[in-house]
Amino acid sequence: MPFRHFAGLFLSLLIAPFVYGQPICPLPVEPADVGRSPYFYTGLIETAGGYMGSGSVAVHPKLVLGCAHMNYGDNGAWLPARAIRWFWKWNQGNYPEYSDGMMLTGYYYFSSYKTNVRKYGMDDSLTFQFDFVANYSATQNTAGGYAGGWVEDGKQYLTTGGFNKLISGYPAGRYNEGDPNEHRMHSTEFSDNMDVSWENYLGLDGVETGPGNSGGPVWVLRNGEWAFAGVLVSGTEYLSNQWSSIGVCSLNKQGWGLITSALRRTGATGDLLKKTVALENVPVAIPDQSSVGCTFTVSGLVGVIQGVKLNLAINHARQGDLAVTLRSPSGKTVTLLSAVVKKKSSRINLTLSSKKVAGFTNLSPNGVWTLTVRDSYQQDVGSLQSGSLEIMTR
Amino acid sequence: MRRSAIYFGAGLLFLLMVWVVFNQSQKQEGTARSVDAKNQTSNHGTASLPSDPPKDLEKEEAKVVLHAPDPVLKAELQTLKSRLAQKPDRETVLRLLREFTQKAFAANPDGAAAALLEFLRSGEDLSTSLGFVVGEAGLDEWPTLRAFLLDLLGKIDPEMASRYALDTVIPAKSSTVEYAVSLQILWNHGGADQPTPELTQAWLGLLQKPDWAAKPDAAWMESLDFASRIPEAAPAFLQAASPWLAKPGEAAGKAESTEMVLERMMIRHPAETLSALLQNFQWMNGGRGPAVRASLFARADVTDSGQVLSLKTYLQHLKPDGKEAEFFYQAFPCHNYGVAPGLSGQPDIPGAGDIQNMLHADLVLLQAWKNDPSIVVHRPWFDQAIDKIKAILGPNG
Repeated sequence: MPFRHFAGLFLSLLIAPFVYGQPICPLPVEPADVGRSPYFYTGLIETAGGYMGSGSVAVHPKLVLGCAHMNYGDNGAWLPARAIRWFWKWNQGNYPEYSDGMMLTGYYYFSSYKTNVRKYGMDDSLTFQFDFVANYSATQNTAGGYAGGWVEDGKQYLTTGGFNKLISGYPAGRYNEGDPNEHRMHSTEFSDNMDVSWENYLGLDGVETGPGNSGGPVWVLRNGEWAFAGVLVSGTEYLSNQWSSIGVCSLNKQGWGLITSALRRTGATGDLLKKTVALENVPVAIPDQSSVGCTFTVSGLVGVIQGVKLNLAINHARQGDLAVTLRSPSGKTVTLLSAVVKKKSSRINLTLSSKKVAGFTNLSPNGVWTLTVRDSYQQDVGSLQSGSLEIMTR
Repeated sequence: MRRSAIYFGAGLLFLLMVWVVFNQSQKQEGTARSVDAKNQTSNHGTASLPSDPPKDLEKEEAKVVLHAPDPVLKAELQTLKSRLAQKPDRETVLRLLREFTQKAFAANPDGAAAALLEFLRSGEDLSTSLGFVVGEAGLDEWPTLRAFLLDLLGKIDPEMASRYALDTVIPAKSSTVEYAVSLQILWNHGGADQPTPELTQAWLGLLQKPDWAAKPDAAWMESLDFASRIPEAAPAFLQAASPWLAKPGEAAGKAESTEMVLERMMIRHPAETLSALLQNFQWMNGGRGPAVRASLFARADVTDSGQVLSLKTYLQHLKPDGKEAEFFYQAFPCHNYGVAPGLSGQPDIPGAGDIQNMLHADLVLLQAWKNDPSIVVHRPWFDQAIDKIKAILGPNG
C-alpha cells in the first residue's frame, strides 16, 4: 500500500509523541459482528500477482467498490479481468482459498488523457483523487443480493458535520505472517472531520490502518445507518514515534460516473438509473392570470441526468393562456410552453405525453422539481389534473 | 352590341386597373418591408442587398453577412481582459469566465459572435492560468483567453466558429490549445456523429506535426480522443503510436494516452481497429506494444462475425508459448473500461444486458475452436479461458 510522505519529517518525529499521542488503530471484527452493517458489505479483494486489498458492496448488489491502484499491475498496465477475485465478508485468520471467492467480470476506472495513475505514479495526491474503481459482476450478486447504502457527496460528509466514521477492511500488513489476526476483517472508527488534501483526496492525522486496507470502504453514520462515502487509498503508520495518517478518495461526481457505468454493464436499469415520479398535490386549480406550482420529489437515483420526459394533463379553456416551466432541484429552469396572444386562436386543454425536456443533462436528479403553470391572460381558467416526470441517469 | 362591347371593354379595363393597383400595393408593401428590414439590419451592420443581379451568384451566396459587434459585450470583454491581467486566483478566474459566458448568451447572438470574432482576429491573448480541462459538457477550463472565447464562439455561432477554425486556426498551427478547441468545434458542427473530411485532415495535421508530438501538452493529449472517431485514421494513429508504446518512458505520457485511445477505438470502431492491427502486424512489437495489442483483441465481441474472423486470424499469428499469448489469455474476455469525458464527448458504454450473451458466445466459440486445426495449438489456453468464463458466469450462469 503506498504511503504519503510529508515535509517536516524530522520535526514531526520530535514532537509527534507529544502532539499526536497514540493513534486510533484498527481492531479485529468479532465473528458475530460480520453479519451486521457495515461489515456485512465488506470483503477481501485479490488481484493478479497476489496483491491483496479490501472492497465493499454498496449501491448495487453486483458491484464491488475499491481503489484503482489495486487494479494496476507492476508492468504499468491495468490488470486483466481474471485478476479480480472477491471474497465477501471474509473474517478468517488464514488467507482464503481460490474456491472461497468469486471472479468478477470487469471494472470501470477513471481515466484521462492527461491525468491518470500511469502518468503520476502511485504515490501522488494527483493520482489519489482518482484512486477509485467500480468492479462488477454481470452475472452474480456480490453480497448475497444486498448492498450497503451510500451518500451522494462523500467529501461533504467526511469533511464537515463531525459524523461518526468507520473504515472496514484487511490491514494485513500490520501483522507478521502467520499471526491469527493477519487476514481478519478489521474496523477503524473515528469521528474527526477529514481535511482536503487535493480535490476529493482527503487526509486525517491520528488515525491509521495498514497495508492491505487499500480499497476499504469509509462509512459515515447518517440517520443511524452506515453509508458508503469513499475508499481508503493511503496512509502512514505510527511506528517508532512517527505520526499516523490516512488518505481517502471520497465518493464524488467522477466516482458516480464509474458506478453508473458499471451498473449499466450489469444490466441494472431499475430504480437506481431510471425513475418515474408523480406530480404531488393534484388536481389543483389554475387561477385566472396567476400561477400555480406543483412539485415532484425525486430520490434514490445515482449518477447525473441523461434524459427527462414529462407527462402532463391540464384542463383549460384556452391552451394559449398557459406558460409552463420546469425547474430542477439545482435551480435550472426550462420553459416548456409559452403563452400566445389572445388574438391568435388556440386549442383547449394541454396534454403532454412522454415529452422530452432538454436542458437538464448532466445535472443531479435528486431533490424537489417544480412545475409552474401560469395563466397569462384574463377570462379563461382551468386546472392541472395530473403529471409525471421520468428521469434517466447515467 | 356596341354598348355591350363598351361595357365589356370598360369592365376589362376596370379589372385591369384593379389588378395593377393591387400589384402596386403589394410592391409598395414589399418595398416598405424591405426598407424596414434594411433599417433594422443597418442597426447591426452592413447588409449586402445588391440592386443589380450579381455577376457571380456563387460568390454572393457565400458572402458572409457580418454584423456589428455588440458594444456592451465588447466593453465587457475589455473588462474581462483587464481583470485577467491582474492575475486573480483560480476561483476568481472561473467566476469571471462564467459571468462573461452568461453575458454573451444574454446578448444578441449575431452581435455577440461578432464581438468574439473581432477579438480573435485581433490576435490579442492573455493567460488565464487555468489548465486545459475537459468536463462532462465540454471544456471546463481554458489556459488562454483566446481558447475560452473560441470555445464560446463555437456555442453561440457554430458556423462562424467552424469557418474561423478552418480559415485561421487550422492552417496557422500556432497553438495546440486553439487547435484542440477547433477540432471540437468541427466535430460538433459536423453533427458529432461522423467525422467530416475537414476534421479528418485537421486531426491528421495535429498528429503529424512533429514539434507538437515531441512535447505534447494537455490540449494535444486530449485531441487524441478524435482518433476514436475517425476510423480511417486508425492506421496512421497506430503507426505513430507504436514507438510511444515501444518506449513509454521516453514518450512523455503519450503511451498512456494511446492505451486510452485504443480502448475507445475498440468501443467505437472495433472492426476497423482490429483490421488495422492485423494488416500492420509489424507495428506494436516493442515495449508495451504486444500487451496492448493483446488487450485490444481480448475485447473482441464474438457475437460479431467480423470480429470473430479477426480474432481467429490474430490467434493464427500468435505463438501460444509467447508472452503476447500470455497477455491475451490473461485479459480475454476483457470487459474493463476507463471512464472520462473526452473532447469528442462521453465514452459510449456498451449496452447493458448483452454481456451474458457475449460470455456464452465466448464459451461456444472456444469449444468449437478446440477442434479447429488452424488454431488447435492454443487448445490448452482455450481450456483455461473456458474455466475462467465459467467462473465469471458463476453457478447459475
